Amino acid sequence: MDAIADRAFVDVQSGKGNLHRVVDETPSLLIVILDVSPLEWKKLMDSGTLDFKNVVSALLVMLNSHMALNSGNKVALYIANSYLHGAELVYPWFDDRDDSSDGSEQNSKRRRMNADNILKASGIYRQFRIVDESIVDKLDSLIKEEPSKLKSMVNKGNTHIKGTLSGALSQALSYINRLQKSDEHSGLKARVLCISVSGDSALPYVSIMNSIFAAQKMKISVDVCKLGPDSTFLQQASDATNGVYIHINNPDGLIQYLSTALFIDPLLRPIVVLPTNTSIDFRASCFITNKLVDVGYVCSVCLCILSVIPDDERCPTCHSKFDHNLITRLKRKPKVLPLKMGNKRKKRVVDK
Amino acid sequence: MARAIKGSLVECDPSIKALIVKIDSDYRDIVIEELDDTHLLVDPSKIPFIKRELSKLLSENMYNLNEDNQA
Amino acid sequence: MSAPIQSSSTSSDLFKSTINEYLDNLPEAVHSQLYRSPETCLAIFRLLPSLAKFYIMTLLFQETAIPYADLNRWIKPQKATGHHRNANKIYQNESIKRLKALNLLKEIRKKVKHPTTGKLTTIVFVQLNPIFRQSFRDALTGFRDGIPRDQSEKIAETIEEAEAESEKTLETSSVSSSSGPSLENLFATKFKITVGFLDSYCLAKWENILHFMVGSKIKHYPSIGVLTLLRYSGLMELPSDRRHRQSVDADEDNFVVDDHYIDGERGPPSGEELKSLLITKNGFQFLLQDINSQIWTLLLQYLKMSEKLMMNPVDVLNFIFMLGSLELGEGYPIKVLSDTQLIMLEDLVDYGLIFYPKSENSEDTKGRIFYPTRLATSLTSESTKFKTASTVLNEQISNTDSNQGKIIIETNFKIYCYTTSPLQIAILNLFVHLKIRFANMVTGIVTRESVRGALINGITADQIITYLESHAHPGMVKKAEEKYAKKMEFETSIGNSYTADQIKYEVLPPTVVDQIKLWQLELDRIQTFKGYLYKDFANDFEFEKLLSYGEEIGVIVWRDKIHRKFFVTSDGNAQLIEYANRILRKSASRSVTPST
Repeated sequence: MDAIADRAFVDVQSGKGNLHRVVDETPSLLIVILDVSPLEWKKLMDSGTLDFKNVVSALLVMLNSHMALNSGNKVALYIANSYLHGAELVYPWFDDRDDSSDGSEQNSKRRRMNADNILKASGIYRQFRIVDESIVDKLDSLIKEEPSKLKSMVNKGNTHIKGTLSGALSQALSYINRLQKSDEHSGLKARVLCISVSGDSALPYVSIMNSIFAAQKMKISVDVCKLGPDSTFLQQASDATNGVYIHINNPDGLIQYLSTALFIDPLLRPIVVLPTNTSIDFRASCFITNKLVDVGYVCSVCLCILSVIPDDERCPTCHSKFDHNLITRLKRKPKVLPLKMGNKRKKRVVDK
Repeated sequence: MARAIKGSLVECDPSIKALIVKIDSDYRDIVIEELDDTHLLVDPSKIPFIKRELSKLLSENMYNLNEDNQA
Repeated sequence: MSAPIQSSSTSSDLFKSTINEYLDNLPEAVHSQLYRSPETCLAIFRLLPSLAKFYIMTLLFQETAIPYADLNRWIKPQKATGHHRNANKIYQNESIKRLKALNLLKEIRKKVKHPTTGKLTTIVFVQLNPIFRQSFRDALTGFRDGIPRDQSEKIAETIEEAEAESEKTLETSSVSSSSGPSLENLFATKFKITVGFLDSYCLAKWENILHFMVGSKIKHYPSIGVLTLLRYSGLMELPSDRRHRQSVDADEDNFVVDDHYIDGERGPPSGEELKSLLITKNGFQFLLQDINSQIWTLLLQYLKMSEKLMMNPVDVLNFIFMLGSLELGEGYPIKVLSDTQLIMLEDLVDYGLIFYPKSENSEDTKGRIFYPTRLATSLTSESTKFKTASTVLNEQISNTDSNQGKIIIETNFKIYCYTTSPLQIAILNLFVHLKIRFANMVTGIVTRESVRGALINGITADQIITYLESHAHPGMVKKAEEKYAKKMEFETSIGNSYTADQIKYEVLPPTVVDQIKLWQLELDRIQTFKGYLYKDFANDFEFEKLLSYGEEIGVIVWRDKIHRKFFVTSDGNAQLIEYANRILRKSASRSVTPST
């Protein structure tokens, strides 16, 4: 009867035990946002450091590993910065067409055929295979269609689109929210991983910050795996959400990064030291030029950040009229006397 | 010079401890050392015997508890 | 925000610890044989603690061994709050211990030159078991280059083949239905095996076994194989066993495993004899577990029995783990199975883990197909929150919409249960004094005697509480959640985060929970630990040093700083002595000589 060793009123110990039990039991959701911006990838691949195929295969292994952790674990994949779709959910793939059993049968047949073509896999766990195949499938078709779309855009003369990473991020958060609200998955833990190749210029500042705050509020960590140029905003995203930001210079060992530093389950976070850098660039970007601002102006009505004052002397975001006198004063070249701080309509900010 | 003694640590409330000490005084060679109000070091092989004796003693003392089953 | 994670997982923990114990105790040779199969690796991986999983992932793609100290670096150092032991450290030690027990983690000692001082020092490196690493990599990547393929791969392949074949036949049959009816054809046309059918099939099988255990009147007795296993596992016993046991020793409560039949000393009891089996203490405990752990309990016993019957445990385990990775509602050809596994197949059909349609033309054995049921496919899934076998089956039992709980318990110990299932009533009867039975519900009262009776039968208070919790009426759960949210909101609004952490989520009235625990304590007033008492320390330094080390590794049960004594569990003793000798040698003072 040694088993009966539990005291009714001493719960300190059992509380501790609970913590670890919870750590072990709760399933989690991993959402990956893959930046597929073709122009950026072209740059990276030309420089010879990175290969899209390698990254995708490393990513698939990571998704498999996540599913291996716990049978209740789920994965989802979004693509961002695609010229064809913008931001889109790739897996799980909700297709309206295959509602009928006939469709699903066709689907599974297609899957099976693809199995031979794409993965050449044998002995792979079935669940993994289904996920991997549908992802590879989708990316395959994406790559096929992307060039023509890009060409038509180039012909029209606009090669620069606003990145849709924030779109993917907000979609991902909505997806998490929906799952967590549903009865079946209540209590599901989630985290987001961004694999990003584009620089900050492609990021719309306001929407990305809003997504970050949403994630922070939902207590969802945003991990960032940065290939290519460093990104200030994503650093801030991971910092604000207790995530990991890793800038990878040598992508050959990508799988090692993905399976260690970027593989920390939300439930392990209280225990494990996060391998993230401590110096974070907190600068914001100018609303007009999209460049990072060291010292700039802030609209006192809507707090929009400006590096230059627009010619019409109106805030570009909220259209409030700025005080002309003040602006002329601010625009004055510095004299020997120190500038008096504007405190009515505008003020200088020092962000760093 | 530190010493290590093999045995079983018994953790219980003081009333039970008193009972075990009483059992020890009746049968001997059970308690190796009394540590504090709630702990005793006993001979590991005597544990089942202690338990049996205890429940015997306790059921004698707690007989009338049977009535208040609605707490 | 969201409801707190309720620990309705005690029973699944129980199963985990039992299967883990079994796996730990296998010899290393069997381990390495097991790790050849990717499915098995996956299943074993899922059984590990989270941190151990994380360690495996970090080591998996690492070609070289890494220093042991690196494993520590991942762990956040925790502020020591008062005398609390470092929970993170303990958790880490546990995780590493599990990895070592399963021979997953190998330690290598290397002499390394210190980069600056140039001194030679021994550093412990760790590396994953190479066989496991290869198989697990294969499981994750789906590649296996240059290595001879083993059986599990063939399975996957032949499954694919067979499915393709069956699809072909399906197609041809839809074109020309007059072609000769093959087996697959028959099934496709006559009755398609649906998930719903499989669910009700396995439920019927499993319920039947449970009904037999509680002694309700049933039409079809479970097969002899099931009955033998029930008896072997000590969940049930023959009247003659009981007399025998009582005459020998009334006190000992370990598993009464009677393997005379297995050893061939005594003839096997006849089927008729087995039908008179009676439930034992362990049987009662068994009934209170959730269905997943019940199955595991039986399967583990099956494993032990199969060893006696000279079946290869690797084959048996691989098959069990493979079942967990199969897909519900899909048919699989039997030709992929080894001979041992074919024997197992028949047994597993009896438990309802597998549906194996009997065919008329028995000569066509190669093309036969078996269907894993939900009981089988959720074997290796331990998430209690999602659709596992137990929830699905509970839905089936209640036949209502998704709510599975039907028990209401009041603070005055009265209990109401909306059920018509004789099984549930029988289970309740184990610890509740049932009073009235209505058409769709029973009422009763939890009394000291009723709980005592259960406790004496070997059911623990925790089991009773978990059972009540997991079967609580949705109304009770909702109320508890509201109460929790309100308290939480209040405490956080006044900024009392410490109390906010302490708030418990209570489905059952706390009075009842405490009283049940008190009744248990009444039965068992003492708590014992085996180990060693350290005393007569020469100085404070020695004492403090050893004590703090012992507390760090979590082996100190009791301490008395004034008299300089502490008590160490027997597991931790060796470690402590080693440490003591190390530091004492270092400080060149007298060494500890334990007189055991």
